[in-house]
Parts: sequence; C-alpha cells; structure tokens
Amino acid sequence: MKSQSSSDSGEQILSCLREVQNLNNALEKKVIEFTTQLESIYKDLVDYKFALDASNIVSITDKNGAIQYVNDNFCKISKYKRDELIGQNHRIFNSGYHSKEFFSNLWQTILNGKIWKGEVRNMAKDGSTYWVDTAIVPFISKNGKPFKYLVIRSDITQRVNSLEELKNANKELESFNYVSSHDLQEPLRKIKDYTTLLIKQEGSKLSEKGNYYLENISKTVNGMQILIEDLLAYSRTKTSDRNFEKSDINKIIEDVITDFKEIIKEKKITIKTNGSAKADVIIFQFRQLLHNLVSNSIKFINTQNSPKIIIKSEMVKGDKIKALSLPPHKKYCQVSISDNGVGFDPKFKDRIFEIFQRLHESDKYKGTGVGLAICKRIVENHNGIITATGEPGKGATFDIYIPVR
Amino acid sequence: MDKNILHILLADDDKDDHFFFEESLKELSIATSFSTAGNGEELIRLLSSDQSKLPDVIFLDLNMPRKNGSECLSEIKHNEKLKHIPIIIYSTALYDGIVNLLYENGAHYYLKKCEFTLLSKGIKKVLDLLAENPNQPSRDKFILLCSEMPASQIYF
Repeated sequence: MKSQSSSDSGEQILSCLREVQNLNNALEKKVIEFTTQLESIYKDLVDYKFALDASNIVSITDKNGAIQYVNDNFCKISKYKRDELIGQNHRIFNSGYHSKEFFSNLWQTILNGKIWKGEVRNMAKDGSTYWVDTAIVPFISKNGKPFKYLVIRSDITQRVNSLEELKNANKELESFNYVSSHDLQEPLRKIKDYTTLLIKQEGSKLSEKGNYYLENISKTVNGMQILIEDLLAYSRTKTSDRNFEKSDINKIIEDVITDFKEIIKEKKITIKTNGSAKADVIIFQFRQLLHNLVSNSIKFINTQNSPKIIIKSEMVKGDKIKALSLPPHKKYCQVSISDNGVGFDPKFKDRIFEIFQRLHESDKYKGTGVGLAICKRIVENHNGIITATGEPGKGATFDIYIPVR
Repeated sequence: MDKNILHILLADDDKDDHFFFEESLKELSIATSFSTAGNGEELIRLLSSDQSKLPDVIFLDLNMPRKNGSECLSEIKHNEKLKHIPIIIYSTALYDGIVNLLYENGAHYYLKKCEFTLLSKGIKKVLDLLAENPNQPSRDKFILLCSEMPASQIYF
C-alpha cells in the first residue's frame, strides 16, 4: 500500500508554506506601501514645519500657558535663550500695554476652544517691546477642554510704528494748517483794514486812479482771505476725525438751505426738496459738501430765467445707477442737486472737480477753484461717488452716491 | 467817573488793533474815552493803580505776552474791587473748549475780531446789549460776531 498520507501531508505543508509566503509577500508589499505613504506624509509634515518655523514665530504651551516649545524665531525676537523659556508662563512677555479685559477676553475665547487672533505688544528680555500679529490655536482633548495651545505669530512692529508716525504727522499737519491759516489771516486783515482807512480818510486827496488801485488791493486781499479759508477746509477734509453717524439727510439739507436764506430771498430763487433718506455720514463734512454745491447753484444762476434749485434724496441699488458699474445689489443713498443755471460744457465734467480748476475768469464769477475739490474729497471720505452733468445755458446736476454701511 | 462818557479799556498786544479799535469808536454816536494796555501785566497794573478811574467795560484779547487774557479774566473776577466790570473777550480763536471756560470764568461776551468795516457795528452791538442787560447773558448768547451772520454758521 502507498503511504498517501505522508505525500498528502507533504503537499499540505508545502501549500501552507506557499500560502504563508504569499501572505508574507502581500504583507511586505503593504508594509512597503504604507511606509512609502508615511514617509511621504512625514516629509510633507517636515516641510510644513520647516516653512512655518522659518517664516513665523511659533510656540506651544500647556493648558495654563506654560511654554513647552519655542522655535528659533521666538528666541530671536524675544531675546531669550530656549532654556530660559521652557516652563515659563507667557506672562513674562506682558509689556503693560493691553488692559486686563484684553487678556480675559483672549483666555475666554481659547478656553472655549476657539482660535483667538489679534495684535499684541510683547516685551523682550531687555525690556524693549515688539508687536506681533498673533493666532492662538487650542487643541481639545476627549473631555472637550483644551490641553495645549499652538501659537503662531508674525512681527508687525514696523507696520505699527509706521502707523503711529503717520497718525502723529497727520495731527501735526492739522494743527500746522490751522495755525498757519490763522496767522496768515491776521496780517491780511490789517492790509485790508489799512486800505479801507486809506480810501475812507485819504481817498479825497487821491486821484480816481489812486482810488481804483486801492480798491483793487482790497479785492485782491479779499480773494486771498477766501483762498486761505478754502485751502484750510480742503486740507481738513483729510486730516480731521471721521465720525460716522446715522443721519436724516433731509435735516442736513434744510440746515444748509437756512444758511442761504437771505440770498435766496434776494435773488428770488425757488428751492424744492424731497426725499427722506437716512445714511451714515460724517455730519460736519456732509454739511460742507451740500453747502458748497448749493452755494455753486446760487452763484451760477441764469439771470435770464427764474432760478430754481431741486434737491432730492433717495435710496437706490447699485444696478439702477447707469454708467457707473457699481456692485448691483449694494445699497446707496443718492442725493441730487440740480439747477437751471448757466450750466457747463459736459467735456469738463471731470475737470471741475480738480483743485484750482475754474471754468470762468475771476471777474466773471468769484471763486477759488477749491469748492468742488473739497466736495470730491468729502465724498471719497464716505467711500462714495460724485458726478456732474450739465449743458451750457441749461443748468447743472450734481449726483452724490453714498454707500449704506 | 463822568456818567455821560463811557470809558472803554482795550487790552491787546497788537498796536494795529489798538488803532483800528479807536478809529471804530469814532464812528459811534456814543461818547467814549479810550485807553489801552499792551499786555496782561500792564492791564492788572492799570486797574490796581487808580480806583477812581476804573473802566466801564474791558475788551480783552486772549493771546498776550507776560499774562494772557484767560489769566487776567480770572484775576479780575476774583478781585472784589474789579469783578463788577463787564469783560468782553476780543479775540480770533473760537475753539469750543476755551469759549466754555471763558464763559464759566465770568466773561460777559465773546466778540470775534473782524475787519474794520464791521468793527464799529460789533462794538455797538456789545454796548447796546450791556446797556440792555448788565448781567452775564445765557451761554447761547455768549458769542457775538461783528457781522449779521449768526454765530452757528461757523464750521470749525
């Protein structure tokens, strides 16, 4: 009898061995596959970490804010050595600039598991300070509470300092402007006053030509006084505080018209107002804007017809304003001032807003060429747009669009 | 003091403003006598020297050397013998803060300096108001302009 069992078991062992080998091979393949994947992921992570460390200031703290890790940039900016920092609390960087509320707000945010972002002024080892744009990322454990924080910062000291310098320069400029315009007005007033006295008290001793010269001196001084006032107003539109307040536009229009009530009566001008829009405006600037536009309408009335000025205010959507390509769904408050005065050639519709640009000789209509430039600046302060349309002899319309905040 | 002549004292460091003020007074129909002080110290000295010749009204500039208008105002209003004299601030600046302070310290009116052609009108306005009401007016009537334009129209 053949020993079938031994050859069978031999076969079985062989096939088992073969299977094991196959499984091993498959396993090895998997291991190599996973290892390759892991290596690639690891390399990515190393690259990310490298990029982060090289370009940012990074630290890791425990749940109480005690430092567990800092990168090289952290040491560089804080001027501490690494071993001086590990285990320290972030309190050592407190430069005394921020309030208690600032920090309690910070902690409240991150304790709730949210990322906190803000600009912080820290103190370095030598007592000097630096500003960092900071993001604190909490890591939450299974119990729902943060167990560590990753803090990423970037140095913005230069930017903050530049901003401070700019603010101070602006303040200085504003007071310089005020003082110099003030101090320039004084001697001008005296030139005018002495000229007035000359004409009054000595005019009879002068020839007609002499009196004519004196009159011109007076007029010139007048012009200079108005120019200085206008220039001061122009510079102040940029440097003064921008306080936006929700206002009834109609009320501002009514106030401005009241300023002109004498001359409106005198020149028999009809003024119509309608609309009831409300907008967020810098009140004193918006008033100046409307004042300048109404003043122009009054100045440029057409003596051939009965002067009319119409002031409208309404809310519109961007798409309704043609030819300006404004965002279609954005809301705007539109104020329009139109008159039937002497108008202007439409080819000048942009130039009239430039400073010192006038369309008339000085003896025809008074003006410094600053009024509309001031209007344009004020509208820009409100992130709005101003346009002018007109036709010679037919009148002019000024449209102002102020975005609703 | 001659009751028929109004004695006006101007304290101002600017000689030209002395001259313009005096010329403007000549245009008024009221009989006036005019004296000046060139700085705050001189003003106090003048007021303390001759008690029988005190002015009926003082026009006070703010920017004066040695002692400025604000300081003089306080001193005069704290002096038993002088505090009855109405003081008119006569200056160019119009900051809200300083105006309130001057009102609180007892100045009667604030007359903004203006050009010569309007000055006599402004002075007359002040004198008429003082004759009508010798006491300090309410705060809204404190600031006066020489011209007809209402004070509320000034944008700073």
